[in-house]
Amino acid sequence: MIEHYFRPKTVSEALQLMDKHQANATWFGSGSKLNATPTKTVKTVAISLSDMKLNQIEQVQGELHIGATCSLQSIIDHELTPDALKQAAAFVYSRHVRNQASIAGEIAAMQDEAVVVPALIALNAQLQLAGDLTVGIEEYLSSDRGLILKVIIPEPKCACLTHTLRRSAAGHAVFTAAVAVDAAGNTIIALDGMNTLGERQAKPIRLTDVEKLNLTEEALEQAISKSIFPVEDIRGSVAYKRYICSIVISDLVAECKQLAGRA
Amino acid sequence: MTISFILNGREQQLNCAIGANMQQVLHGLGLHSVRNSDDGFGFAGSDVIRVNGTLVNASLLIAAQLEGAEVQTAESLGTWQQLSLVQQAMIDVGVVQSGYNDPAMALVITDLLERIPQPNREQINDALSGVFHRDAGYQQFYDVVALASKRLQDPLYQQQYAPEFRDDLAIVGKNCAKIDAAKMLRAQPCYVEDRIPANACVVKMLRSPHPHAWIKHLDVSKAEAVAGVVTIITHKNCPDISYTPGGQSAPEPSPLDRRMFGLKMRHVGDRVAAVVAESVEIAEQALALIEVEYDVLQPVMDIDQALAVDAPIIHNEPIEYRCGEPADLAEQNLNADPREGKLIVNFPIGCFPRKNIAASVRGHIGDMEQGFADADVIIERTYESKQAQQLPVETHICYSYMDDDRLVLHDSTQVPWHVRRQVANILGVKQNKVHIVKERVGGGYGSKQDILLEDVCAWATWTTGRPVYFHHTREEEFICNSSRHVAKVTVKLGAKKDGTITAIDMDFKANTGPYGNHALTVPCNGPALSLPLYPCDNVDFRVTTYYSNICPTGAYQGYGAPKGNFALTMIMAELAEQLGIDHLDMVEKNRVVEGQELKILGAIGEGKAPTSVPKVHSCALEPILKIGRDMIEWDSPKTQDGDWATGRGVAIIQQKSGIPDIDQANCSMQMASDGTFIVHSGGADIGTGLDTVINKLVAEVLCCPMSDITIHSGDTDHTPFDKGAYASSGTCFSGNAAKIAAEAMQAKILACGAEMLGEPVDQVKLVAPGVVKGLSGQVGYGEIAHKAESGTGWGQLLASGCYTTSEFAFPYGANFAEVAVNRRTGEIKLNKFYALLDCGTPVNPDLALGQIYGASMRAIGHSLFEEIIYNEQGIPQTRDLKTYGAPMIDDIPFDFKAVLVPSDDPVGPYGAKSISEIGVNGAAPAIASAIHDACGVWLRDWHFTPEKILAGLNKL
Repeated sequence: MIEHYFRPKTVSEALQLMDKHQANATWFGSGSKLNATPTKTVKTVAISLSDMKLNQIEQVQGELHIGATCSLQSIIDHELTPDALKQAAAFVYSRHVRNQASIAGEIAAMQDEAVVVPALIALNAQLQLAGDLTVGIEEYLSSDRGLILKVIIPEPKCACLTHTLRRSAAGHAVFTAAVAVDAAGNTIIALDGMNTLGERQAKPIRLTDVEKLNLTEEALEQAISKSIFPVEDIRGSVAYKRYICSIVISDLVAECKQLAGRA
Repeated sequence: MTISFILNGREQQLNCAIGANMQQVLHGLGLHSVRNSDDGFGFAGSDVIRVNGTLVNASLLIAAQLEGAEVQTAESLGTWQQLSLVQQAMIDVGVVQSGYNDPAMALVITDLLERIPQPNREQINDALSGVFHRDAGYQQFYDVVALASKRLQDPLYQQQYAPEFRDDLAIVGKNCAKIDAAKMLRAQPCYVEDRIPANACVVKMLRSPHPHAWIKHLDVSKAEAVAGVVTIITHKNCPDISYTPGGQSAPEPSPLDRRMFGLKMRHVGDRVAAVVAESVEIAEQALALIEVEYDVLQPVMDIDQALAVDAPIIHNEPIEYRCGEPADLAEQNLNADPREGKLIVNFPIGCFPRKNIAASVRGHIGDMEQGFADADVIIERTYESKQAQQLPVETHICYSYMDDDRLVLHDSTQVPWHVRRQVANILGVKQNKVHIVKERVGGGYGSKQDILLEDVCAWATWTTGRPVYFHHTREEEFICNSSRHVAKVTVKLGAKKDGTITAIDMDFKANTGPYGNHALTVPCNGPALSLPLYPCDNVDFRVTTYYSNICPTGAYQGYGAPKGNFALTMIMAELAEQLGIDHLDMVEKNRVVEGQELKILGAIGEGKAPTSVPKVHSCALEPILKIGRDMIEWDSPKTQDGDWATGRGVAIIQQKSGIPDIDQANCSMQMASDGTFIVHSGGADIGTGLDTVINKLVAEVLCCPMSDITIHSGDTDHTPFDKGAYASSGTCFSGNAAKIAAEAMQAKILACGAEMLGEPVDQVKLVAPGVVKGLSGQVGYGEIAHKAESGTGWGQLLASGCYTTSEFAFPYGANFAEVAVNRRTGEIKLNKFYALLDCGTPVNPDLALGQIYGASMRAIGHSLFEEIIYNEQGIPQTRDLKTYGAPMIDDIPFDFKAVLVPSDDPVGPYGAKSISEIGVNGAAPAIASAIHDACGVWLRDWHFTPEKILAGLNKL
C-alpha cells in the first residue's frame, strides 16, 4: 500500500525524490493501474506527476507534443490529435478509465495488453524523458524505463490506421494492430497480442521484416502469418490468431496505402 | 493523514491512510452509491464518482489523490423527496430493477447531459461504457437519456414507454413506478452491505487451488495466533452435517452431498478454511499463515471423462437414503471412504455416485419404433453448451449477528425460508431461533437461490457470538458460486416430408460439477421446457447428470430450458433445411396451441410427477409468430455486402409460472387505523418488481390507491411462508396469495361497511378510492378501521391467503434474430433481435419490458461472449468480468425490441403469467440458426465465436 505520497512541482524535485526512495518508490501518473487490483503496486512511496504541469497537448514545429499525464479522454477530445491515436485511446473501453488513465501510463505500465501502443509505434512516437533524453518508443519498451515527460508524434498527419479485435466490447483484445505510411512512403506495422494472457507483460512488436517486403494481398498475408508467433489462450487458438492477424493487417496496409495516396 | 476536500458541496476533512481505497472510504462515510462490484478491477463502474467534474472509478483512487479535490457522488443528485431529472426519467421509463448500479448510471447520465444535452446513440454508448449493468440489458437507457434530454427543454414532458393492457382493470396492466425504485436510486441503505456495522467481523476463505485433491495436512495454529483472529473454521470444527447448497423445497430433489468443510477438494475454490477476523487485513494476514498440503488427484472436467469406466470417483462417501433405499445400497457402499463424510439421498432421484451420476431420470410416451417408422426423414445430432455465470452486480453477501439467543441473518437471497431451514439444520437448532431478513437484492438470476455463504456466516456467529459478514469477491463468484450447467444433448428427430414431426428422442447429459444441487431439476427442465413446444405422440428422453471437478453449477434463469431448447430448435432447423421447408413454417406446423394437453409433461416431474396431464390454458404463439415474422421481414430478400452475409433465425420458447403441487405461497395483511394497508408477503422481490406486483394486485382488489398499501416481504419473522423467488413463481404464486388475501380482506371490509350502512352485504360494493358504497350512502375505509379498532368494534381487520395449485400457467414467446456474418473474418454482428413474449396480462408493462431486455441480453451474452474456460489442468482462467467477457452497452443488438403479446390465463392473477425467466430461453438457437442462414455453418457447440465460424468455413 502507498504510505507516502509526494507531489513534486518540478522534474528535478521528482528525480531527487526517486533517488532518495529508490526501490520503494514509483512514478504515479493517475493511479488507474497502480491502484487497480490486477496491477496494484507493491511500492510504498508514490511520486505523483500531477503538479508537474505535464498535461498539455500542443503543436511544436509540426510535431504533436502530448504531456505525459494527459488522460486518454483528453487526447480523444483534443482537436490536434491524429485520428488513429484517438481511435487507439478509445480502445480502452471504459470512459471512466480513459478519464483517469494517462498516456505515459499506457506506455510504461506492465499490462496484459497495450492497445494504445501499436498506434504510437506506427506513428513513430518519440518519448522525451527526464534527464533531457529522447528515445523512440520501441527503444523505451526494450530498455530500462525512465520518467516519461512527453510523447512526441513527429508526423501527426501521416496516414495511420489501427484496429483491435475483441469478442466483447470490453473484453480482452485478441490482437491490436496499427499501420502507418510515413512521408517518405515507408510502411510501419505494429502489433500487440502475441503474449500470454495473465502474465501482465504486453510485448507490442513491429513487423519490420514484413514492412520491407512491400507485398500486397495474399502474399502479404502469408508473410505476416510467417512472421508472427501467437500463443493459444482463451482468446483463440494459434491457427485462428495467425489467420485473423494476417488478413486484418493485410487489409490495414492496403487501406493505409490508399489513405496515404489520397493525402 | 488528514485529507481535505469538498464532498457533495461541503468541505470535508478525513482522517485515513494515504493509500486508502476511496471506494471503501466513501462507502464507509455512508455514501452508499459508491459500491463495489469488481474489487478494484475498474470494469463494473459501480463505484463511479466525479472528481473535479470528471467521472472516475473510486476504487482506482487512493485517498491522497483527493487532497483539495471536489468530489461528487450520486447522493448529490436530487434532494430529499425530490428526485433529479435523470433519476425521475429512470423511474418513468421503468429501467430500475435490482438497482445496485443505478445510482452510478444516474450520475453518468447526468454527466453526459451536462456535456451534450442531446446526445446521439454513439455518444450515449460512450458515456455508459464505464458501467456494467446486468439486469436491464441497457436498451431502455436510450429512452432514459431521450426523456431526460427532452425534459431539459420541457420539464413537464411526459411519454408512455410501454403499452397498457386490460381496459377493465384500473391498476393491473397499467404502467407505474416501481415502488422501491426511488429508494435505490437515492442510494438509501437497502442492501446487505449497507447494514454492516463497523464492528462486524469478516469471513475470508482459504480455497483449494486444485480441482481435485485431498487435504493431507492442515495447520491453522499460526493463523489462529494472529491478534484479531476470532476463529478459524475447518473440517475439524464444523458441523458434521450433509446438506445440499440448493435452496429448494424440502425434501430436496438433490443429493445432500456437501459438508461445510471436508477433507476432499472437489473444485478450484472449494473450501479449505474460513478465517473470521476483526478486519479484512487481519483475515488476509491469517490466510497467508495457514499451512496446507494436498494430495492432488486427477480431475474430471467433462461429461465424457465422468462417464468413462475408469473415471476417478468424485463422491465416494457412504450413501444413505431417507426413503426408497435401493436394494444394492450395501454393494454401492462396499468401497466407500468415510473420510469424505456421507452422502444422503432424500428419495430416489437416480443418484449413482460411484458412476459419477448425481441424478438421472427417464420419461416416455407413445411408440418410438412406430414414430420413427412413420418418418420420411430421420436425423440425429449432438449439441453442446458451456458453463456461464449469472453475474449479479452485487456479489453474494450475508451479515449475521445474535439477538439474545436468536441468530439474525441479513441476506441477499432468493429463498429466505429455505435459508432458514438449512441454517437451522446445519446449526442444529430449531427454526424459531433463526431469523432471515432478505434485503434488496442486487441481482440474482438463480445464483442466489443457493446457500453459498450463509452456512459459514451463521456458524461463525453462532459459535462466537460476534457479528460477522461474508461478502464474495468477484473472483469467488466465478470459482465457487453456482453457474449454468454444462450440457451435451443428443436428439434424434423423425419427420414426414411435409415437416410433421413423428418422433423425438432426447438424451440429455449434464455436468453438475462438484456438488449435485439442482442436479435432477435443472437438467430435467431441458426436455420439460422444450419438448412440449412441439407436442408429439412418440417421445423418449433420458436425463443423466454427472459429477465432475469443474466449478459449481446450480440454478440459473431458464433452468435447463435454454439447453433443451437449443438442441430441439436447432435439430428442427437442420431437418427443415434437409426437407426444403422454411424453418418458421415448420415451427408453425408443429408448435403447441392453446387448449392442448401436454402429454410429455405428464411424464416429467421436479422430484414428483404432476397429478394430471398439464394443459395449455393460454398461448399467444399464433399472434407472436405473425408479428415477429412481419417485424423482421422474414420473407424479404437478405443482403450481401462484400464479405458480410445476412441471415435470420427464430426460436419459440416457454417456461412455467411456478411448480404446481410443490410450491406454495402465503400472504397476510392488516388494515391500519386509517384504512390503509400493511401487506406481509412471503415473496422475495429480487429486483424483478414483485413487491410492486403485489401492491398492484392488492390495490386492484381493494379499489384503493397503491400509495395506501405498504409491502413488507421476504422476512421469515414478519411475513408468512413462501417458497422463494425461483421457477418463475413470483407473479403467479406470491401474486395469487396476495390476491386471495386481498379478497379475504375485501369480504371483511364489505361486511363491516354493510353493517355500518345498515344494508345487506350483497347490496354494497367497494368503490375507488377506498369506499364501501351502498344504496343509502357510503363509508370510507378510515371510518371502518376506526370502528373496527374501537371498544365496540370487530377487531383490527386481518386477512390472509395461501396459494397452491395443480395447474400450470405457461408463458410463451419467440426470439427473432438477424445477424451479419463476415465470411472472411468470422465476425458476427447481431443487427436485430426481437423478443416477443406472452406473459398473459402484463401486470406492470414497462417493468415487464425491462425484464425481457435483461433476460435477452444475458442470453445473448451467453451465446456470443461469455464462457467459463479452464486450462488443461482444470484451473479456471476466467476469473474477472473482463476476461470472462461480460457484455457492455456496445454489445447489445443494434435493433433491439421487446414486445408484449397478451393472453388471458385462468391460473394467474388477473390473467398474468411469469415474465422474468422465459426471456433467456431462445437467443442461442435463434442466433445460431441465423448464423447458418448467413454462412451455411451449423454451430452445434454453444457459444458461437468467429473462430468456430472460420473453422466451419474451412478457413483454419
